Amino acid sequence: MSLRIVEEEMDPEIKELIEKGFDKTKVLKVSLPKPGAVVQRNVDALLTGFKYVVKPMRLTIDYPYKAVEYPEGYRGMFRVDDNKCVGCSLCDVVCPADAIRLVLKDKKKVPVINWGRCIFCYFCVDICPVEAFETTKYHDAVFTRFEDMLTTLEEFTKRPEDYVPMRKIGKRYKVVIDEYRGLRYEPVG
Amino acid sequence: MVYIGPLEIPGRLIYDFLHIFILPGFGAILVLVILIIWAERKIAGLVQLRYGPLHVSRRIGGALQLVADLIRYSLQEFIVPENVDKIAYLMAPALALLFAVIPIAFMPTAPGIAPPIYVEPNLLLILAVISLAPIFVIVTGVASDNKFAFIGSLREAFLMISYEIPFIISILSTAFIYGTLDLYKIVEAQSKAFLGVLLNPFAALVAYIAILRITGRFPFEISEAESELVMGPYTEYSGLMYGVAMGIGYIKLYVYTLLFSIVFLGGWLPISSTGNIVFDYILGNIILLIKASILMLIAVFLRSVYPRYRIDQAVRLGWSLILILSGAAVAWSLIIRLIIWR
Amino acid sequence: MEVDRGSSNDFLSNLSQELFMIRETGVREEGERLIELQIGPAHPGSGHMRILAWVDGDIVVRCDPDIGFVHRTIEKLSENRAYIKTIPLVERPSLLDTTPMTIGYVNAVEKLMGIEAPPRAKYLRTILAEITRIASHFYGIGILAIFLGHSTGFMWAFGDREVMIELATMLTGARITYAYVIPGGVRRDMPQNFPDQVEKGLRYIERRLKDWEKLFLNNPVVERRLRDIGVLKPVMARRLGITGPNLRASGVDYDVRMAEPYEAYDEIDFMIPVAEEGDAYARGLVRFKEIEQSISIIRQAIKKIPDGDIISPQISRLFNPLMKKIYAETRRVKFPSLLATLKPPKGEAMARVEAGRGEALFHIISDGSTNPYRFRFVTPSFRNVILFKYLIPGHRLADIPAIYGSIDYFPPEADR
Repeated sequence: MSLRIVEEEMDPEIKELIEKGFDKTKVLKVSLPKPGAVVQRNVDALLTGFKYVVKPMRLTIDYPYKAVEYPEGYRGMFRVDDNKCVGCSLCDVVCPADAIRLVLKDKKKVPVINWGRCIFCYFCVDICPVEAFETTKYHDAVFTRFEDMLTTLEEFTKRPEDYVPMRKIGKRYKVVIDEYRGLRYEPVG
Repeated sequence: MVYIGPLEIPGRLIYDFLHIFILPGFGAILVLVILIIWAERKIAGLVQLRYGPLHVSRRIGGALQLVADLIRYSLQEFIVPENVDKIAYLMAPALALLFAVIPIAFMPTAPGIAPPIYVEPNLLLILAVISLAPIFVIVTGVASDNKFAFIGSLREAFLMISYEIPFIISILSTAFIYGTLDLYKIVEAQSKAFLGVLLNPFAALVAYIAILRITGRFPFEISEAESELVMGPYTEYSGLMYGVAMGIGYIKLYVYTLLFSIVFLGGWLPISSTGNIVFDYILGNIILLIKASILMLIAVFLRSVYPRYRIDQAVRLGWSLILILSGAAVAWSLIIRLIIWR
Repeated sequence: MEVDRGSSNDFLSNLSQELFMIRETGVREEGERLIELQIGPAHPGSGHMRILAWVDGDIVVRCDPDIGFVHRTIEKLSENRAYIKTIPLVERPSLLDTTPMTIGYVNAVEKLMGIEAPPRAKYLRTILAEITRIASHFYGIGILAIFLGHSTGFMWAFGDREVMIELATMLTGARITYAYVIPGGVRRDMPQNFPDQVEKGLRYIERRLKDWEKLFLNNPVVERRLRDIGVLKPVMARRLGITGPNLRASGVDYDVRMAEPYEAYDEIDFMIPVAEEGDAYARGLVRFKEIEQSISIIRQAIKKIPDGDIISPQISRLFNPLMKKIYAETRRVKFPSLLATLKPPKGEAMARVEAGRGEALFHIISDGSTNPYRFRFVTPSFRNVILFKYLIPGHRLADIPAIYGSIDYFPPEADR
């Protein structure tokens, strides 16, 4: 099997690169382990598995009896402060998912959101020149009907907790990265 | 030897009923299979950094999850596809289930008490019944009129043959040592000398590996390989029949580990017949079940350590290493029988 | 007999023929010996795609990947939207390593506009890109494991990936679709305790890699399933245009991070793992080694990261007083209104990045309006999908999942 690349058509730089390769000091040769020592390796695998039976190390959380409280700055659901809003409609312009629609209130355009479309990129929050959006970390919303996801202005000015149907969730836990266990969950408050 | 032969005592019929329907029969099967599947999922959960089933019956760690699953399976619509061979399609899993549990009727499980059907070479009879099982899997696959089911059943057939032969050889090789084909006498012989697993470790190893394959445990869960064959021979099954098909593997595991415990781990030893039938029956069975449960726990633990072999690798393993080992087991048995333990 | 419907290239059809000849069967049409299997489109892998496999006995004699089930028309959609709106869009195809994709797109836009991100932003981009690379490799290894039936490998990979996702959440505020990279910089500075948390997470991953080696890599059954399966020769890898870890596992030392350094990669000392064998096991192993290298890259980047702005002055001079205040206080970049209607000058720009699965290419042609005239987006999975056709024939049916898993093919990424 031969390499049939038309030499003349090739970019000289690429040609040189293919011929030369990289600086060999930057190449880490990975060698596959030699086959053999089957018994030893079986025992190793079994013992490693058994280690976790004896000393469990759970990464998951017992949702919904316990739930995760995300760190500061988590991009959750948000509300609009229609007093601060100046009606510049930039949020509508920048929204990549067309989730924001503008409604008229006292001759001012104010945004409402369709939670079914929102991708929580926060472009609207960041582009607002007057910080009219108030963000929360609230994220586990459960809507049972599509219509519920279309907010009215009255709803969108409320905090999500006050109008979004939510699942009954137990205690909130903070995620802590742990060197030995990966993730640890510490009760909030 | 204190056999309670047929009609020798008035309690015989009661005992037969208990043996078949309570311990170690259907009642024990139901409870143990539910517990073993729960344990399998729980162990996998532990190894895999998660909880495992927990939502149903939280107080006892989700142990009733499988009961919930069974209820769901039975309420689910049972679809019989149009093109299947209906009689074979419906009969095959039922027959496979039946032939998986029949061996229990031949097994002595307590000191001083004969099994409901007592014949002298009961080990041979059990092996005969056991070796019928792959036929129904093949029937399942062919009757389903599905390519995946067909390939799955062919794989099952290949594997069954390549592992059942070493299994039977290794079990019989222990019979050479004990000089009998009667399970009761095999246990008695072990009470006089060593346990079978010490007398012939090769046979025990081969038998255990073969059990893993025959009952479809990892790393030999090949015929139902989910990633390429959907559900292997049982692809077209739904509802309760799927539940049954899924349970057959575990029921087989139970029966095979019972046999293994009797042949290699001394059955109900260390207790021996005390003359009190009730005491013997309960304690003997429980000791046997504990031994079998430990074997089953090891078998289900392997799911969280091994992936599955490829079909040709598993078949090659069966016909080479495992068969050679079973030959070694026979040789070892003969040596022991002829030279050491005359 | 018709060998290769799709390609008119002599070389490819010869190759295909050669692989056909691996097993001379006599009967070619479906029927007596040949079974046509349709694996998918819904299968226990990642995303939807169908594999058409013709099986003779247990040997696959022909295999066609059937792609396009999760096509999203990203290239066309982006022609009808402002430049900045495409940033969340290019993340979508490869939900597992989103940041390299946004970096590539944003780099192309930055080249068009002639702006450059400040050094701190470049380092932050690098850190996030490597975090997502680890996550992406774990995802690939997890899929490989579940294809082999190794459920523990699957769960472990997804569990360890969660640690990386938590780290990224701290940095960006979202779990997977970060939209963190914007033209001219990044959107947030890292929180105070971030270096500390990263170090803990990396130590955890290093600790776990030892267990991974014992339970998965050195597991004899895993090794037997992967060794000498789907061997990709370097010549063939180059000829087919394979990219990423699959290419490097075939002995070709090529990595965009090294060949055409972007962001902070030229200031960081790292190595590219290359294996000679080119089989499925080598492909898995190279991914593990890349995780180790990524750990080292993140460590160096955290150590070397310079102080300063995280957004280019060309953008920050457009801030209004409130935005300036917020930027000074919380180091959060507000978008000046210009960003919503970016109008790069006429011209075209191209950027390449090394995403988790290989090289991704972004080519933007601008006609001076607010939308790109044309946006070409070549993803690594799209270039790797051809491997199904050439690696699988001649192997057994049970090797299809093993090879699929080892090339870490992700259908949504290929379909775009």
